Amino acid sequence: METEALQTDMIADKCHAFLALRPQLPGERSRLVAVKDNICTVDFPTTCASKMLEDFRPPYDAVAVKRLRAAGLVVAGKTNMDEFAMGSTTETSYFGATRHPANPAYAPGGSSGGSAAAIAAGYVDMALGSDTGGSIRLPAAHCGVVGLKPTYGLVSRNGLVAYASSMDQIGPMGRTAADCARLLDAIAGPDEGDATSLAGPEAGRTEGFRADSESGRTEGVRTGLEDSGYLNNLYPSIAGMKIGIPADYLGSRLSPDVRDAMERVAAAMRRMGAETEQMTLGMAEYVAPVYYILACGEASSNLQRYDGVKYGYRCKAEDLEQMYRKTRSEGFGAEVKRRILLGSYVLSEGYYDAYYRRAMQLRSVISAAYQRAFAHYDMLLLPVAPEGPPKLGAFSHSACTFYDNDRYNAGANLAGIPSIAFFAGRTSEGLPVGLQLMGNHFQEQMLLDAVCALEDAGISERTI
Amino acid sequence: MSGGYIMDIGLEVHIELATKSKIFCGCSTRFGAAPNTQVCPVCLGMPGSLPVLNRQVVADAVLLLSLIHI
Repeated sequence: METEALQTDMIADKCHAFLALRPQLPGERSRLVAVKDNICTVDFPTTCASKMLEDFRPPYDAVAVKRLRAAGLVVAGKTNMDEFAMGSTTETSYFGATRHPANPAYAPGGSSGGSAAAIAAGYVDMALGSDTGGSIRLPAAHCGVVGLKPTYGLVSRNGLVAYASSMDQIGPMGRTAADCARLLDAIAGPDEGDATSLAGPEAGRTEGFRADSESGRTEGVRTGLEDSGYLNNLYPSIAGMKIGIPADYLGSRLSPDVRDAMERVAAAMRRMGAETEQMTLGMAEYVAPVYYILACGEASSNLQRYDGVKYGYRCKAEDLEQMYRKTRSEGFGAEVKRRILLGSYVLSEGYYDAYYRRAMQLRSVISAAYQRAFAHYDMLLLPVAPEGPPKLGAFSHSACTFYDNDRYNAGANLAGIPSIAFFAGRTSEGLPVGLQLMGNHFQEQMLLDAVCALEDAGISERTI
Repeated sequence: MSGGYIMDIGLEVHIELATKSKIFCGCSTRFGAAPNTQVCPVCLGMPGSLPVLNRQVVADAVLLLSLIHI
């Protein structure tokens, strides 16, 4: 059985990609999917890499998990992540960092670092991650695998532990674009249990309401999108496409390795019949601040539920108020607390207008900038990070530098547009460098086709 | 007679809607069941759960608004 030797390696899990592993794997490796530990599964704990949910066993599968099981795929295990998806290196995990499979001194990126590492280490060919401000694309790029953040609403968030509800998306990660297409086929499509899910401008969408009946929970039954056919429709060509390269995202911040990867990929795309053009996207310096204000505001609300009352960690306490305070003080790590504090502040009376409302307005301006770009270009090519994978511990003293790197990625979450990260080269230490292609809403097929075309042309390769 | 005062009366009205199910989930609203039996992950706020708005609540709100001519 092809998975026997694999099981031994996975149990050893040298890079600490997994938090939980299925004791008996099915025979076929092609059926395995690693699932990020903020996605609910009935057969494994769902910890969000936090002490707060260390022993939490959800009584339900996330809709994405239900659907992949219905498609014949098997959850191989739950992968490590930054705590509650807050972080870019998988170092804020309560259970310890995941190490880069190619070099244990380096981080795999985050927050879906465990999922990316599991693919790069060769344990699985497919994984689910989640992306709120780059958390699929960054570890995909750093580990040299493919990672797609779908259009907001394409994949149901039902069962994804919420961080920032207006930006979160579950997305496929894979060794190749075809792996991502296969997984996206299984999970995409509207869900009556997620009022923000939709298939596209023409296809059916959920009404956003439910009928007033004692019918129990609205189930994640697949509606619309019968056979999305991303894999069947994979057409590896970018001939005739117009690719915009935003100059305001290039510049001196980029390391020579990333700059070199950008130039090589642009040249390859031209050889393949696409047109590339430098342009200005705009709003670059606002993306990270707007993202952090809005995401932290939403997170401070979404994480209010963790109070020790009904589930999760509960401290020892003398009275109710002490229970709330101590449970949250002891259950959350430092980065989570930092973001809850920031979020509470920007939503508070006296500061709401100056920060949150202003950021909401700027979000519309950022979205409009992308729409203007897509009026002229089919896709945008940009970096995922200014440098290759960081060393473990590199960002421990500089939260603001760390946060500012989200400028490359978070714009897609603010605008709700899809974006795919792919392998594009190596650093001088031999570690992977990835880039991303962004498209307009519901252009996932085009993005998958483009990465497939690049793979066929020899730009992408397995990294380890 | 008013002594120079202008009356300004506000009515804060709370209405418990007589829907069959809860506002954000399909749990029954029937009175008298044992505690913790008409609950689900949504109304318990479990991680990953999502609310879906009860159509009747919206219909009732629209009806009320049309009656008071807002």
